[in-house]
Amino acid sequence: MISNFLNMGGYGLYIWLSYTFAALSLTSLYYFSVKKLNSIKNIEYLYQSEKIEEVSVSAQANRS
Amino acid sequence: MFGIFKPRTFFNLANTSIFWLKIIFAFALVVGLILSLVFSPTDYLQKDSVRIMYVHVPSSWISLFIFLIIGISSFISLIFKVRVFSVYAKSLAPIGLVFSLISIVTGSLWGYPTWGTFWSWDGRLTSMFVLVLTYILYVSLWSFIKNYNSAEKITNIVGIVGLINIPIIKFSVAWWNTLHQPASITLTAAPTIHSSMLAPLLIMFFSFCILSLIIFLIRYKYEIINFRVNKK
Amino acid sequence: MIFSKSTKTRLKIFSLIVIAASIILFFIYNNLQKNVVYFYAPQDIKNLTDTPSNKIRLGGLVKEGSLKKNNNTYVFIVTDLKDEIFVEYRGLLPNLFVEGKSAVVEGVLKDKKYFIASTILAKHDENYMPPEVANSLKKNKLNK
Repeated sequence: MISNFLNMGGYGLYIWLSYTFAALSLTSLYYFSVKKLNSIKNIEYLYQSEKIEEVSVSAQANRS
Repeated sequence: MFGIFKPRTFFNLANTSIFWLKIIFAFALVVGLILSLVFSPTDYLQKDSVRIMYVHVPSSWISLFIFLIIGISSFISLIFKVRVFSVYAKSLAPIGLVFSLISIVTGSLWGYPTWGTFWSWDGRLTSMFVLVLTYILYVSLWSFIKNYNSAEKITNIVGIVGLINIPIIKFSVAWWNTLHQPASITLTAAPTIHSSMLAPLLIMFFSFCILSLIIFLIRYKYEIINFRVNKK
Repeated sequence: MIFSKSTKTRLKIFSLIVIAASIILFFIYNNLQKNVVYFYAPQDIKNLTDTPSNKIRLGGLVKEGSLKKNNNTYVFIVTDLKDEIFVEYRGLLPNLFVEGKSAVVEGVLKDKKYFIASTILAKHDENYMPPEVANSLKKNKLNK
Protein backbone atom coordinates (compact mmCIF):
# COMPACT_ATOMS: atom_id res chain seq x y z
CA MET A 1 0.00 0.00 0.00
CA ILE A 2 2.59 2.52 1.13
CA SER A 3 5.25 1.28 -1.26
CA ASN A 4 2.64 1.47 -4.00
CA PHE A 5 2.01 5.11 -3.12
CA LEU A 6 5.72 5.89 -2.98
CA ASN A 7 6.33 4.19 -6.30
CA MET A 8 3.76 6.37 -8.10
CA GLY A 9 3.44 4.05 -11.06
CA GLY A 10 7.19 4.02 -11.68
CA TYR A 11 7.57 7.81 -11.61
CA GLY A 12 8.11 7.94 -7.84
CA LEU A 13 11.80 8.84 -8.00
CA TYR A 14 11.22 11.89 -10.22
CA ILE A 15 8.12 13.03 -8.32
CA TRP A 16 9.66 12.76 -4.85
CA LEU A 17 12.92 14.37 -6.01
CA SER A 18 10.92 17.32 -7.41
CA TYR A 19 8.85 17.83 -4.29
CA THR A 20 11.88 17.41 -2.03
CA PHE A 21 13.95 19.90 -4.00
CA ALA A 22 11.13 22.46 -3.87
CA ALA A 23 10.55 21.89 -0.14
CA LEU A 24 14.24 22.11 0.76
CA SER A 25 14.98 25.23 -1.28
CA LEU A 26 11.89 27.09 -0.06
CA THR A 27 12.53 26.11 3.56
CA SER A 28 16.12 27.31 3.41
CA LEU A 29 15.04 30.57 1.72
CA TYR A 30 12.58 31.15 4.59
CA TYR A 31 15.13 30.15 7.21
CA PHE A 32 17.86 32.46 5.91
CA SER A 33 15.43 35.36 5.50
CA VAL A 34 14.29 35.04 9.13
CA LYS A 35 17.88 34.64 10.31
CA LYS A 36 18.95 37.78 8.47
CA LEU A 37 16.09 39.78 10.00
CA ASN A 38 16.78 38.49 13.48
CA SER A 39 20.39 39.63 13.20
CA ILE A 40 19.12 43.16 13.79
CA LYS A 41 18.11 43.56 17.41
CA ASN A 42 15.19 45.70 18.61
CA ILE A 43 13.93 46.36 15.13
CA GLU A 44 10.42 47.33 16.16
CA TYR A 45 11.64 49.97 18.59
CA LEU A 46 14.34 51.30 16.32
CA TYR A 47 12.04 51.48 13.37
CA GLN A 48 9.04 53.00 15.11
CA SER A 49 11.10 55.64 16.92
CA GLU A 50 12.68 56.57 13.59
CA LYS A 51 15.95 57.35 15.24
CA ILE A 52 17.94 56.51 12.17
CA GLU A 53 21.18 57.36 13.91
CA GLU A 54 20.62 54.61 16.40
CA VAL A 55 19.46 52.19 13.72
CA SER A 56 22.60 52.87 11.82
CA VAL A 57 24.86 52.39 14.85
CA SER A 58 23.22 49.19 16.09
CA ALA A 59 22.84 47.68 12.63
CA GLN A 60 26.53 48.15 11.98
CA ALA A 61 27.40 46.86 15.40
CA ASN A 62 25.39 43.74 14.68
CA ARG A 63 26.87 43.26 11.28
CA SER A 64 30.42 43.15 12.51
CA MET B 1 -4.59 56.29 -1.46
CA PHE B 2 -0.92 55.57 -1.92
CA GLY B 3 -0.48 55.35 1.84
CA ILE B 4 0.24 51.64 1.54
CA PHE B 5 3.48 52.45 -0.26
CA LYS B 6 4.71 54.47 2.70
CA PRO B 7 7.33 52.32 4.40
CA ARG B 8 5.89 52.75 7.87
CA THR B 9 2.32 51.80 6.91
CA PHE B 10 3.66 48.81 5.06
CA PHE B 11 5.84 47.83 7.98
CA ASN B 12 2.91 47.87 10.42
CA LEU B 13 0.75 45.97 7.95
CA ALA B 14 3.45 43.31 7.70
CA ASN B 15 3.54 42.88 11.47
CA THR B 16 -0.18 42.32 11.82
CA SER B 17 -0.77 40.20 8.75
CA ILE B 18 2.14 37.77 8.83
CA PHE B 19 0.56 35.48 11.45
CA TRP B 20 -2.65 35.07 9.48
CA LEU B 21 -0.74 34.64 6.24
CA LYS B 22 1.16 31.75 7.79
CA ILE B 23 -2.09 30.05 8.80
CA ILE B 24 -3.61 30.51 5.34
CA PHE B 25 -0.41 29.21 3.76
CA ALA B 26 -0.28 26.09 5.95
CA PHE B 27 -3.91 25.31 5.19
CA ALA B 28 -3.59 25.85 1.42
CA LEU B 29 -0.35 23.85 1.27
CA VAL B 30 -1.83 20.84 3.08
CA VAL B 31 -4.95 20.84 0.90
CA GLY B 32 -2.86 21.39 -2.23
CA LEU B 33 -0.40 18.59 -1.42
CA ILE B 34 -3.12 16.08 -0.56
CA LEU B 35 -4.98 16.92 -3.76
CA SER B 36 -1.91 16.82 -5.97
CA LEU B 37 -0.28 13.71 -4.51
CA VAL B 38 -3.29 11.58 -3.55
CA PHE B 39 -6.63 12.60 -4.99
CA SER B 40 -5.81 14.04 -8.39
CA PRO B 41 -6.07 11.49 -11.21
CA THR B 42 -3.15 10.34 -13.34
CA ASP B 43 -2.86 11.75 -16.85
CA TYR B 44 -3.87 9.47 -19.75
CA LEU B 45 -0.38 9.73 -21.28
CA GLN B 46 1.97 11.06 -18.62
CA LYS B 47 0.54 8.76 -15.91
CA ASP B 48 1.73 9.82 -12.46
CA SER B 49 4.50 12.10 -13.73
CA VAL B 50 1.82 14.76 -14.22
CA ARG B 51 2.03 15.34 -10.44
CA ILE B 52 5.35 17.16 -10.94
CA MET B 53 3.37 19.81 -12.82
CA TYR B 54 1.66 20.92 -9.60
CA VAL B 55 5.03 22.22 -8.35
CA HIS B 56 6.61 23.10 -11.70
CA VAL B 57 3.90 25.31 -13.20
CA PRO B 58 3.15 27.47 -10.10
CA SER B 59 6.92 27.99 -9.57
CA SER B 60 7.37 29.10 -13.17
CA TRP B 61 4.43 31.48 -12.99
CA ILE B 62 5.71 33.02 -9.77
CA SER B 63 9.28 33.40 -11.05
CA LEU B 64 7.95 35.25 -14.12
CA PHE B 65 5.50 37.35 -12.10
CA ILE B 66 8.17 38.35 -9.58
CA PHE B 67 10.54 39.43 -12.34
CA LEU B 68 7.75 41.48 -13.86
CA ILE B 69 7.33 43.28 -10.53
CA ILE B 70 11.12 43.73 -10.22
CA GLY B 71 11.28 45.24 -13.70
CA ILE B 72 8.40 47.65 -13.14
CA SER B 73 9.70 48.61 -9.67
CA SER B 74 13.17 49.23 -11.11
CA PHE B 75 11.63 51.50 -13.72
CA ILE B 76 9.69 53.50 -11.12
CA SER B 77 12.76 53.73 -8.92
CA LEU B 78 15.12 54.79 -11.70
CA ILE B 79 12.88 57.21 -13.56
CA PHE B 80 10.64 58.64 -10.84
CA LYS B 81 13.11 58.27 -7.97
CA VAL B 82 10.57 56.60 -5.69
CA ARG B 83 13.36 54.73 -4.04
CA VAL B 84 11.28 52.42 -1.87
CA PHE B 85 10.50 50.49 -5.07
CA SER B 86 14.15 49.40 -5.27
CA VAL B 87 13.66 47.97 -1.80
CA TYR B 88 10.64 45.99 -3.01
CA ALA B 89 12.64 44.69 -5.96
CA LYS B 90 15.65 43.83 -3.81
CA SER B 91 13.51 41.93 -1.31
CA LEU B 92 11.72 40.00 -4.05
CA ALA B 93 14.73 38.96 -6.14
CA PRO B 94 15.98 35.99 -4.04
CA ILE B 95 12.43 34.60 -3.91
CA GLY B 96 12.17 34.78 -7.69
CA LEU B 97 15.59 33.17 -8.05
CA VAL B 98 14.61 30.21 -5.87
CA PHE B 99 11.32 29.71 -7.73
CA SER B 100 13.03 29.89 -11.13
CA LEU B 101 15.51 27.23 -9.97
CA ILE B 102 12.65 25.04 -8.74
CA SER B 103 10.99 25.49 -12.11
CA ILE B 104 14.11 24.36 -13.99
CA VAL B 105 14.91 21.41 -11.71
CA THR B 106 11.36 20.04 -11.53
CA GLY B 107 10.99 20.62 -15.26
CA SER B 108 14.07 18.50 -15.96
CA LEU B 109 12.83 15.81 -13.60
CA TRP B 110 9.57 15.77 -15.55
CA GLY B 111 11.29 15.92 -18.92
CA TYR B 112 13.51 12.89 -18.41
CA PRO B 113 10.76 10.27 -17.99
CA THR B 114 8.36 11.91 -20.46
CA TRP B 115 10.37 13.55 -23.26
CA GLY B 116 13.35 11.29 -22.84
CA THR B 117 15.83 14.06 -21.97
CA PHE B 118 16.63 16.28 -18.99
CA TRP B 119 17.40 19.29 -21.11
CA SER B 120 17.12 20.54 -24.66
CA TRP B 121 17.91 24.02 -25.95
CA ASP B 122 14.49 24.86 -27.32
CA GLY B 123 12.98 28.35 -27.15
CA ARG B 124 11.20 27.96 -23.80
CA LEU B 125 14.00 26.20 -21.94
CA THR B 126 16.67 28.58 -23.23
CA SER B 127 14.73 31.73 -22.36
CA MET B 128 13.98 30.30 -18.89
CA PHE B 129 17.71 29.63 -18.46
CA VAL B 130 18.38 33.27 -19.34
CA LEU B 131 15.88 34.30 -16.63
CA VAL B 132 17.82 32.30 -14.03
CA LEU B 133 21.08 33.99 -15.18
CA THR B 134 19.41 37.39 -14.93
CA TYR B 135 18.21 36.64 -11.40
CA ILE B 136 21.72 35.50 -10.41
CA LEU B 137 23.22 38.67 -11.92
CA TYR B 138 20.64 40.86 -10.15
CA VAL B 139 21.13 39.28 -6.73
CA SER B 140 24.93 39.14 -6.97
CA LEU B 141 25.21 42.78 -8.08
CA TRP B 142 23.37 43.82 -4.90
CA SER B 143 25.82 41.85 -2.78
CA PHE B 144 29.03 42.72 -4.69
CA ILE B 145 28.55 46.48 -4.93
CA LYS B 146 29.10 47.95 -1.52
CA ASN B 147 27.93 51.48 -2.28
CA TYR B 148 24.15 51.42 -1.89
CA ASN B 149 23.39 54.16 -4.40
CA SER B 150 25.41 52.71 -7.24
CA ALA B 151 24.12 49.19 -6.51
CA GLU B 152 20.62 50.57 -6.70
CA LYS B 153 21.23 52.27 -10.03
CA ILE B 154 22.90 49.29 -11.68
CA THR B 155 20.38 46.72 -10.46
CA ASN B 156 17.57 49.00 -11.64
CA ILE B 157 19.09 48.89 -15.12
CA VAL B 158 19.45 45.08 -14.95
CA GLY B 159 15.81 44.82 -13.85
CA ILE B 160 14.63 46.95 -16.75
CA VAL B 161 16.78 45.22 -19.38
CA GLY B 162 15.79 41.79 -18.02
CA LEU B 163 12.16 42.67 -18.58
CA ILE B 164 12.68 42.06 -22.32
CA ASN B 165 12.98 38.36 -21.57
CA ILE B 166 9.54 38.00 -19.93
CA PRO B 167 7.40 38.18 -23.09
CA ILE B 168 10.00 35.99 -24.84
CA ILE B 169 9.51 33.27 -22.22
CA LYS B 170 5.74 33.63 -22.27
CA PHE B 171 5.32 33.48 -26.04
CA SER B 172 8.28 31.25 -26.95
CA VAL B 173 5.97 28.24 -27.23
CA ALA B 174 3.70 30.13 -29.61
CA TRP B 175 6.37 31.82 -31.75
CA TRP B 176 8.68 28.93 -32.39
CA ASN B 177 8.65 25.16 -32.69
CA THR B 178 9.55 24.01 -29.21
CA LEU B 179 9.81 20.73 -27.39
CA HIS B 180 7.94 22.32 -24.50
CA GLN B 181 4.17 22.08 -24.80
CA PRO B 182 2.10 25.24 -25.42
CA ALA B 183 0.19 26.94 -22.61
CA SER B 184 -2.82 25.03 -21.28
CA ILE B 185 -4.24 27.97 -19.40
CA THR B 186 -4.70 31.20 -21.33
CA LEU B 187 -6.79 34.31 -20.86
CA THR B 188 -8.54 33.92 -24.18
CA ALA B 189 -9.66 30.28 -24.26
CA ALA B 190 -11.00 27.59 -21.94
CA PRO B 191 -8.18 25.67 -20.22
CA THR B 192 -7.21 22.43 -21.94
CA ILE B 193 -6.59 20.84 -18.60
CA HIS B 194 -9.23 18.76 -16.83
CA SER B 195 -10.88 20.38 -13.78
CA SER B 196 -9.71 17.55 -11.50
CA MET B 197 -6.12 18.57 -12.35
CA LEU B 198 -6.75 22.29 -12.54
CA ALA B 199 -7.94 22.42 -8.90
CA PRO B 200 -4.69 21.18 -7.27
CA LEU B 201 -2.67 23.33 -9.70
CA LEU B 202 -4.48 26.51 -8.69
CA ILE B 203 -4.42 25.68 -4.96
CA MET B 204 -0.68 25.03 -5.10
CA PHE B 205 -0.25 28.29 -6.99
CA PHE B 206 -2.25 30.11 -4.31
CA SER B 207 -0.19 28.61 -1.48
CA PHE B 208 3.09 29.48 -3.27
CA CYS B 209 1.84 33.06 -3.71
CA ILE B 210 1.11 33.35 0.02
CA LEU B 211 4.52 31.87 0.85
CA SER B 212 6.20 34.38 -1.46
CA LEU B 213 4.31 37.18 0.27
CA ILE B 214 5.39 35.95 3.72
CA ILE B 215 9.05 35.70 2.73
CA PHE B 216 8.81 39.04 0.94
CA LEU B 217 7.47 40.76 4.08
CA ILE B 218 10.29 39.28 6.17
CA ARG B 219 12.96 40.34 3.68
CA TYR B 220 11.33 43.72 3.21
CA LYS B 221 11.56 44.46 6.95
CA TYR B 222 15.29 43.77 6.81
CA GLU B 223 15.89 45.69 3.60
CA ILE B 224 13.93 48.79 4.61
CA ILE B 225 16.10 49.15 7.72
CA ASN B 226 19.15 48.55 5.57
CA PHE B 227 17.90 51.24 3.18
CA ARG B 228 17.39 53.79 5.95
CA VAL B 229 20.88 53.10 7.24
CA ASN B 230 22.47 53.46 3.81
CA LYS B 231 20.42 56.42 2.62
CA LYS B 232 22.39 58.73 4.85
CA MET C 1 49.62 51.54 -12.33
CA ILE C 2 47.79 53.39 -9.64
CA PHE C 3 44.03 53.41 -9.65
CA SER C 4 41.90 54.98 -7.00
CA LYS C 5 39.70 52.62 -5.06
CA SER C 6 36.51 53.84 -6.71
CA THR C 7 38.03 53.45 -10.18
CA LYS C 8 38.88 49.86 -9.37
CA THR C 9 35.33 49.23 -8.18
CA ARG C 10 33.92 50.78 -11.34
CA LEU C 11 36.21 48.66 -13.46
CA LYS C 12 35.18 45.52 -11.61
CA ILE C 13 31.49 46.31 -12.02
CA PHE C 14 31.93 47.19 -15.66
CA SER C 15 33.71 43.95 -16.47
CA LEU C 16 31.14 41.94 -14.51
CA ILE C 17 28.35 43.46 -16.59
CA VAL C 18 30.22 42.89 -19.84
CA ILE C 19 30.86 39.24 -18.99
CA ALA C 20 27.28 38.66 -17.93
CA ALA C 21 25.85 40.48 -20.94
CA SER C 22 28.03 38.55 -23.35
CA ILE C 23 27.01 35.22 -21.80
CA ILE C 24 23.35 36.19 -22.11
CA LEU C 25 23.80 37.50 -25.66
CA PHE C 26 25.65 34.32 -26.59
CA PHE C 27 22.72 32.20 -25.47
CA ILE C 28 20.19 34.40 -27.24
CA TYR C 29 22.29 34.33 -30.40
CA ASN C 30 22.66 30.57 -30.18
CA ASN C 31 18.97 30.22 -29.58
CA LEU C 32 18.08 32.32 -32.60
CA GLN C 33 20.60 30.53 -34.79
CA LYS C 34 19.62 26.97 -34.05
CA ASN C 35 16.46 26.87 -32.05
CA VAL C 36 14.12 29.24 -33.77
CA VAL C 37 14.06 26.28 -36.09
CA TYR C 38 14.14 23.86 -33.17
CA PHE C 39 12.74 21.22 -35.49
CA TYR C 40 11.65 20.94 -39.13
CA ALA C 41 8.24 19.69 -40.18
CA PRO C 42 8.16 17.08 -42.99
CA GLN C 43 6.91 19.78 -45.37
CA ASP C 44 9.90 22.04 -44.54
CA ILE C 45 12.20 19.18 -45.47
CA LYS C 46 10.42 18.64 -48.76
CA ASN C 47 10.90 22.32 -49.56
CA LEU C 48 14.65 22.30 -48.80
CA THR C 49 16.76 22.74 -51.90
CA ASP C 50 19.45 20.29 -50.83
CA THR C 51 19.66 17.49 -48.27
CA PRO C 52 21.47 18.82 -45.19
CA SER C 53 24.26 16.51 -44.07
CA ASN C 54 24.48 17.77 -40.49
CA LYS C 55 22.36 16.68 -37.54
CA ILE C 56 18.85 18.15 -37.64
CA ARG C 57 15.60 17.70 -35.75
CA LEU C 58 12.37 16.57 -37.34
CA GLY C 59 9.04 16.99 -35.60
CA GLY C 60 5.47 15.93 -36.27
CA LEU C 61 2.80 13.36 -35.54
CA VAL C 62 3.71 9.69 -35.41
CA LYS C 63 1.32 8.24 -37.98
CA GLU C 64 -1.21 5.79 -36.52
CA GLY C 65 -0.46 2.19 -37.37
CA SER C 66 2.96 2.98 -38.86
CA LEU C 67 5.21 1.86 -35.97
CA LYS C 68 6.99 -1.41 -36.74
CA LYS C 69 9.59 -3.17 -34.67
CA ASN C 70 12.30 -5.30 -36.20
CA ASN C 71 14.76 -6.68 -33.62
CA ASN C 72 15.96 -3.50 -31.93
CA THR C 73 15.14 -1.20 -34.81
CA TYR C 74 11.96 0.79 -35.00
CA VAL C 75 10.59 2.23 -38.22
CA PHE C 76 7.70 4.64 -38.25
CA ILE C 77 6.27 7.54 -40.23
CA VAL C 78 6.38 11.17 -39.07
CA THR C 79 3.73 13.29 -40.71
CA ASP C 80 2.46 16.86 -40.60
CA LEU C 81 -0.72 15.68 -42.38
CA LYS C 82 0.71 17.03 -45.64
CA ASP C 83 3.97 15.16 -46.16
CA GLU C 84 5.42 12.03 -44.63
CA ILE C 85 8.93 10.87 -43.82
CA PHE C 86 10.08 7.41 -42.79
CA VAL C 87 12.14 7.38 -39.60
CA GLU C 88 14.47 4.60 -38.55
CA TYR C 89 15.57 4.41 -34.92
CA ARG C 90 17.60 1.96 -32.88
CA GLY C 91 17.20 2.14 -29.10
CA LEU C 92 14.65 2.61 -26.37
CA LEU C 93 11.50 4.63 -26.97
CA PRO C 94 10.44 7.22 -24.35
CA ASN C 95 7.25 6.45 -22.41
CA LEU C 96 5.22 9.18 -24.01
CA PHE C 97 6.08 8.01 -27.51
CA VAL C 98 2.66 6.92 -28.81
CA GLU C 99 1.21 6.56 -32.28
CA GLY C 100 -0.99 9.53 -33.11
CA LYS C 101 0.98 11.87 -30.80
CA SER C 102 3.82 14.27 -31.48
CA ALA C 103 7.49 13.45 -31.33
CA VAL C 104 10.75 15.21 -32.13
CA VAL C 105 13.50 13.06 -33.60
CA GLU C 106 17.17 14.04 -33.85
CA GLY C 107 19.44 12.65 -36.51
CA VAL C 108 20.43 12.89 -40.16
CA LEU C 109 18.53 12.69 -43.41
CA LYS C 110 19.48 9.80 -45.67
CA ASP C 111 17.36 11.33 -48.38
CA LYS C 112 14.28 13.50 -48.36
CA LYS C 113 12.01 10.56 -47.59
CA TYR C 114 14.15 8.70 -45.07
CA PHE C 115 15.48 9.91 -41.72
CA ILE C 116 17.91 8.07 -39.49
CA ALA C 117 17.28 9.10 -35.90
CA SER C 118 19.81 8.92 -33.10
CA THR C 119 17.57 10.41 -30.39
CA ILE C 120 13.82 10.42 -29.95
CA LEU C 121 12.06 12.98 -27.77
CA ALA C 122 8.35 12.55 -27.12
CA LYS C 123 6.50 15.85 -27.31
CA HIS C 124 3.58 16.32 -25.00
CA ASP C 125 0.68 18.57 -26.01
CA GLU C 126 -1.28 21.08 -23.92
CA ASN C 127 -4.04 18.59 -23.03
CA TYR C 128 -4.12 17.14 -19.54
CA MET C 129 -6.90 14.72 -18.58
CA PRO C 130 -7.56 11.57 -16.57
CA PRO C 131 -7.57 8.25 -18.52
CA GLU C 132 -11.36 7.84 -18.20
CA VAL C 133 -11.95 11.20 -19.87
CA ALA C 134 -9.50 10.31 -22.62
CA ASN C 135 -11.28 6.99 -23.19
CA SER C 136 -14.72 8.53 -23.40
CA LEU C 137 -13.39 11.17 -25.81
CA LYS C 138 -11.96 8.38 -27.96
CA LYS C 139 -15.28 6.50 -27.90
CA ASN C 140 -17.21 9.60 -28.90
CA LYS C 141 -14.82 10.11 -31.78
CA LEU C 142 -15.28 6.53 -33.00
CA ASN C 143 -19.08 6.70 -32.73
CA LYS C 144 -19.27 9.73 -34.98
